[in-house]
Amino acid sequence: MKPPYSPVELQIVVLARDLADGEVGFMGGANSVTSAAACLLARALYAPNLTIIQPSLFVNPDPVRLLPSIIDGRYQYGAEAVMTWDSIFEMSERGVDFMFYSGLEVDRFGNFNVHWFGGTDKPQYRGPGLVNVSWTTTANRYYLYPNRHDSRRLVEKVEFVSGVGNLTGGEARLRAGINTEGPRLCVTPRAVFDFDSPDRSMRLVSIHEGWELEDVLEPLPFQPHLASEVAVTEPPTRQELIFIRNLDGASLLGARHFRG
Amino acid sequence: MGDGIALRDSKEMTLERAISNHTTDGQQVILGGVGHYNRPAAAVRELLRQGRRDLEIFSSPISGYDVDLLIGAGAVRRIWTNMNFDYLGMAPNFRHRVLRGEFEAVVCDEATLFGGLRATIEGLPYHPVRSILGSDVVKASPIAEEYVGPTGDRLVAIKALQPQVAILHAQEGDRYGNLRYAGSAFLDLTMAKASDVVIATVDRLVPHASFIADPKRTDVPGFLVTAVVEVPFGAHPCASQGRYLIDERHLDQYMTAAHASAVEGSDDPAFDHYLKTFVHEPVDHFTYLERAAGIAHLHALSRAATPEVDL
Repeated sequence: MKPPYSPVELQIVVLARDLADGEVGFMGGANSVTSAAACLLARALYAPNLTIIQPSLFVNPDPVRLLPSIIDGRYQYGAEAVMTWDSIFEMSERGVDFMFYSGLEVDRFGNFNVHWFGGTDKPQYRGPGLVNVSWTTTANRYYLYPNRHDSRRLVEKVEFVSGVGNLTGGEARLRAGINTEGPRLCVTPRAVFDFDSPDRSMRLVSIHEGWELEDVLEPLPFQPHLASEVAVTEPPTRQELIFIRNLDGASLLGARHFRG
Repeated sequence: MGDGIALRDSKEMTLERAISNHTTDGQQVILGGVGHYNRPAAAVRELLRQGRRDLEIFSSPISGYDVDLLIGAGAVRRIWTNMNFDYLGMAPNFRHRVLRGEFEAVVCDEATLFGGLRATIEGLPYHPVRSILGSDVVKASPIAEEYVGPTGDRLVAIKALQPQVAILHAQEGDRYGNLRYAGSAFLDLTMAKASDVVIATVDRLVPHASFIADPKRTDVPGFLVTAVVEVPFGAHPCASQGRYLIDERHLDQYMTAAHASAVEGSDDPAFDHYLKTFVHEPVDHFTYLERAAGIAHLHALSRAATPEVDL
């Protein structure tokens, strides 16, 4: 039976619940309606002291509804400060608590590629780049939320490391001189993975309502670790859904490319 | 030694004159704003009207319409920015033409672009960053090199980037080149500091007294600016934060035309027609606005830019 909420609504809720009160983080880069909603949900319902920074450098925006572009000037509504992009540069060296990436191509170690596909000599496709992949190394942690659960989005090894995850696994991230946590969760439209495995690769922790284990594993070109007890992802509460749907007055979350 | 009162020079000029006096073929030009926000789109069309070519374009890490237009018109040899049309999709000319090698697209991120500008501002040959350690951007970028600093830390040196010309778009300016932004100033101040020449278009030129009355709100001081041009809706079809939204209708039209002509093997003249209609034929900016949007549509875009109205 189809659950009474959409996959993207569940992605939003899973991301939001992992943010801690008092943290300072970034709303996301390109295509980040999902992460913007997660930040606003967390601040409204469980983390009132969260500081959310929008990519125009509006601090703590309080939009009446979600907007299609994360850089939209209307996010200034309710903001308490406007900084400039120099601050992005500075914060991306010094770090913030969290950042989000949808990632065009994400691998099992949480590395992702937004730049270059099909080899650097004869590329088949040049990606859109992304607003600030620097935070993969300097933010305390980051979240991945690919908008599809398939073998194009989730791969064994990315062709080009734009965003630095656990690299080749194990201690590789530390050996590269990076001492932040890196990828915390990868929340797909079907399941939640963390990276708490011996080699720091994806570990399946929960499956969203309506999907079976084989629906999660079959599309993947790699075998993720499995948590000792793979749970059912805790569904959104009524209050969470009401908040998200009120915020999404223009139905951005349903209209576009979100599907299982 | 004057025999009268010395008068301060105005930096106000026409768009045509600003571009013809201060730009040449082959230059390194940095464009202000981010994505489809606060972009100097009218000035970019003027570059094309005046036939500028072989340009090396820098911008913030996301660019869309204006850089894609330059690419489609064959006016660039190299770009230093990332390209997409945000939630509208891929950048059509970039996407197809980069694979055919019609120009070079340097792999970029904030750290490389901003670090390069910051080195110039600080008078240094390079600026150290930590944040792209481990990323393939370090290997692919011609200006990034990993090294071990005197403290024993592994760092990445970003070599200085010094564009010859910056072209910015602000919401307000005065005749002495002071600029004020209604929303974010993005990286415009840094771009102005790092460049030799700065051309600014503003939606509205306001009295100098208005800047004197509130100097803490000046985002880019006039001494950094070479020329200022009043160009109402000068960012169109991009947005001017706090003044008007992006014109999705026009950007859709652009994307359709550009895509039709840019795909491999196409001989569709749609993009040439776009260039003719919206870049070369209009005798001035107002004629462009009438063709590309019309008064009613521009009014709607302005009205909706204020959240209290739209929401």
